[in-house]
Amino acid sequence: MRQPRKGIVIWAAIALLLSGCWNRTELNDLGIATATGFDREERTWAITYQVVVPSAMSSGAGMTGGSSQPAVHVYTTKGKTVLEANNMSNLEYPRHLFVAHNNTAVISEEVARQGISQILDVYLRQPEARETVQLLVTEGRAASILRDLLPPEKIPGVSIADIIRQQTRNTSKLPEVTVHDFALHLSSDTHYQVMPVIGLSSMNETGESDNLTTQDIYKKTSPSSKLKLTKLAVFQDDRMVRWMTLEQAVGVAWIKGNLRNAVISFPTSSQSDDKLNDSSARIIQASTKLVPHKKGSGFGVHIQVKAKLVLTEVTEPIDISKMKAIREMEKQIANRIKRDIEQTLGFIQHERMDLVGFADLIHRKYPKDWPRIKENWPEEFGRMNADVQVKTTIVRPGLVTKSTKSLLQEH
Amino acid sequence: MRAHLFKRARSNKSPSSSASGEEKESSKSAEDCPQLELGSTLADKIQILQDSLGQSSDFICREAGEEGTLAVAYLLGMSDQQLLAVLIKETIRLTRVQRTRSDVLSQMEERLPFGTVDHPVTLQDVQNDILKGKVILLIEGMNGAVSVALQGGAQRSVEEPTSQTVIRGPKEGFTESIGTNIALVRRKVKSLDMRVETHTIGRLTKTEVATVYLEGIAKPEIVGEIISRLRAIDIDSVLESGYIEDFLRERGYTPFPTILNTERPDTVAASILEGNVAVFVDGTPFVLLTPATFFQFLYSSEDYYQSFDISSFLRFVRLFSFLVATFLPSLFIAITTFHQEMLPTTLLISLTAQREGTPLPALIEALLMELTFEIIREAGVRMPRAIGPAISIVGALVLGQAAVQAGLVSAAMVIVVSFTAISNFVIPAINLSAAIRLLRFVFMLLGGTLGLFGILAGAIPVLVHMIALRSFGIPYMTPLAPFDGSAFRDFFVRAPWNRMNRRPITTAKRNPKRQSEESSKSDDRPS
Repeated sequence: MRQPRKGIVIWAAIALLLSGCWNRTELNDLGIATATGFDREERTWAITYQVVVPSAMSSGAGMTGGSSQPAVHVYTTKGKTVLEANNMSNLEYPRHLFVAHNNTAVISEEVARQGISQILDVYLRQPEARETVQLLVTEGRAASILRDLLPPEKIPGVSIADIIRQQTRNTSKLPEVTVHDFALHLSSDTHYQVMPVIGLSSMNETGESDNLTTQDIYKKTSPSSKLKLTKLAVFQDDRMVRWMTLEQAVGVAWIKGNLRNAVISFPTSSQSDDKLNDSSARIIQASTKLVPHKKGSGFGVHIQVKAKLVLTEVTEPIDISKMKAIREMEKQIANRIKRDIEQTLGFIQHERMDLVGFADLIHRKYPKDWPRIKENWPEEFGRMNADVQVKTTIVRPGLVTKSTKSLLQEH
Repeated sequence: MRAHLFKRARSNKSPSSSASGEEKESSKSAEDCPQLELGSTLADKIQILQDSLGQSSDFICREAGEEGTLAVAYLLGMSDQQLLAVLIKETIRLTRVQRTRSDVLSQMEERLPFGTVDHPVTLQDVQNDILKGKVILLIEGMNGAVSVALQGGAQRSVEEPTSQTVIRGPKEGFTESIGTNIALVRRKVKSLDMRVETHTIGRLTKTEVATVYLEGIAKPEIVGEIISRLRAIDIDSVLESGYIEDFLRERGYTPFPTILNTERPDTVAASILEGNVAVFVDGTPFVLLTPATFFQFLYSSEDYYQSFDISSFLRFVRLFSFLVATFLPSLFIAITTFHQEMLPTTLLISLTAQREGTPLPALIEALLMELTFEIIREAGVRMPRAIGPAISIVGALVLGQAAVQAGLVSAAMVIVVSFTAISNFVIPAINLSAAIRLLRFVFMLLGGTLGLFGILAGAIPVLVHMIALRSFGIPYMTPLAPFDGSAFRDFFVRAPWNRMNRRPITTAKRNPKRQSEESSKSDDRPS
């Protein structure tokens, strides 16, 4: 009884060890891709990879200070399919291209207008690639965006993803669109989706721009051009159809209830028209309730926004200790929010772009009516009657109760 | 195994002494030395004794008193010289006054206020007494001899234990003398129920081994089992409790220790109070405590002296350190060579930057660093005290910093290996930390070849083994498996003393009550 049991243990141990180290990869054999760019050239894909150069990171052992080498290396490979292009990377790059830490995927306008379902398929199908990759569109070629450094940060791919995450947390004016989010949207009734656009913005009046692709850019305090999130791209299903400005989009965040921490400027009182004297408040809590309803043959939506704010700037010499002044300001903020929402709604209804997911809302509430209106939903959406109610509460006036201007007047 | 002969060697007249309670001699020695009578005349007796010890120069056998009436025999350095002088003086006086020799023995028992007085008759008994360090008095005309227990001589005094130090708690530690050691425990447990049973083990060393337990608390089955295992031992020498430990363990190989050892009297006292059995071995300060469960190896006696909150926290720290010491290097290797996607991007980049240009694979690098550390550690234990600082400098600076700067190993690996090493030292029981050191290498190989899957493939059999393990019938993973909720007051969290009103059920089921009801209801006290 004892001998056979021993035998099993030994054979099991051998069987375990036989598989050996077949998929072992040492860290220094990895090429960590932090950003991927998708371009089309005629009938081939041109995939650009931004890979980290670990030795250029100053945290390396025994090295002091930064190195003269940029922290990323960018190269482009071509192939009939995305993965074929990926495979071609082995012909020119000595390390295993590791895409599990890919943070951003930049899609050129050309590719976006042709449709990005193939890219999504790659990200969803492959185990190594992640669905948490941030998707971005750029006007020119994606390759040129990837080549640009983002001073003072070292790795642009990581920093771009950080910018998007940071703004989602603090202003949420632009949506954070990951592969997962986009795939969700594709399976929903809403056919429209927005995606942030990254571009090179010139900061110099003369229009001349620095070359962001060299290490020298770190020597300047203010490069004349910079990578920035500039606007939004509107997708219909998997194809990009048009651009949209940030101002046009601010209402979308309100309707979707995504707004957190954003700062709102508003005229302090109804009398003051002077734009210079706008006050501001920061949202600390906001919620949006959408209640669809039926009106004859058409549909409508009640949009109820509730927001709690903290005063951050008060410019008019008003007495905040009086409830009347607070109420007045709350009203002004509410008006501002309402105006933002209505402006956006007007725009997207005019363009028949259901960016706010009213289709899902109607489908859920009126599942019987949905098949009827599904076919001509864009027109139905354009006809929809939306009324906006905004309730705002200023919960804290900040550290001082009087405005600084009123202090000046007392002297 | 042949059946052993047990022989009662207790004299009827002498008061029962713990030191000569039961005596075991192997059948072999009984055959070699037939029951020899001592000679009848004093000169004969001296001659026979000296011949039987091969004229050893440390055997002193000389006549004393008048006209060859008395002789004293002892081994040099094994008896208390001052008491010996008193004894001789007293005996000379007795033999002079007491003309009837048969009364000498009873007179001596009355007159001598120290040492037990025995009356060995056969040559073999006399020899045994001499080897134990007793003083033999040979009296003209008397059958046999008189042996007086005056064992003594040079021995280390009670000092602070070096292997298990505490900040708060008794600072005394066991010595090499079993009598002193038992007395140290006896001083703490002043109970009539404390039982000491002595066995002599070792054909040549004749080492005294004593089992100490509390009657009425310890399970009789466990006590009986330990004593029967001790009796079954037939070995020529016992020089340390480690010899005994291997005989007491359950059958089958296990890397885990199933018997605790300590050089602290307070730990022994606490342990026997919970129903465990202590095994003292003469010649070593390390006392065995059985049965022992896994988690007891993570407890320190200080846990019970400090306030319960910090003790509980420290127990968690130790458990965490145990896991770190076992798994950290293997996890590090597995994640950095198989599962890079599990690391945050910035950490991955930082680790990759450190590994840039290091020539060896992570597994080999880790094995080398661990081996290096084991060498430094072993050097630290073995080298003369005076060279200590030199080794530290070489170890820390040359092997650590220089190796990193030369690009031979990555800095992260040095951090992992050092943290593992320090975590290993947190475990209070040296034998458990030794077991971990071996297991760590196994896990590193598994993690380096199969990744996290390999670590799991290694951890599951180890866990199964630990759960199947028994220490004198007590499951090793008690109170987790089998689950025992009542033991949780002294488990990860050490409850305040007024809450720990019951002894552990596994060992002290017969008498689990530790405090009276009133004492444990301290919350009702007016504050």
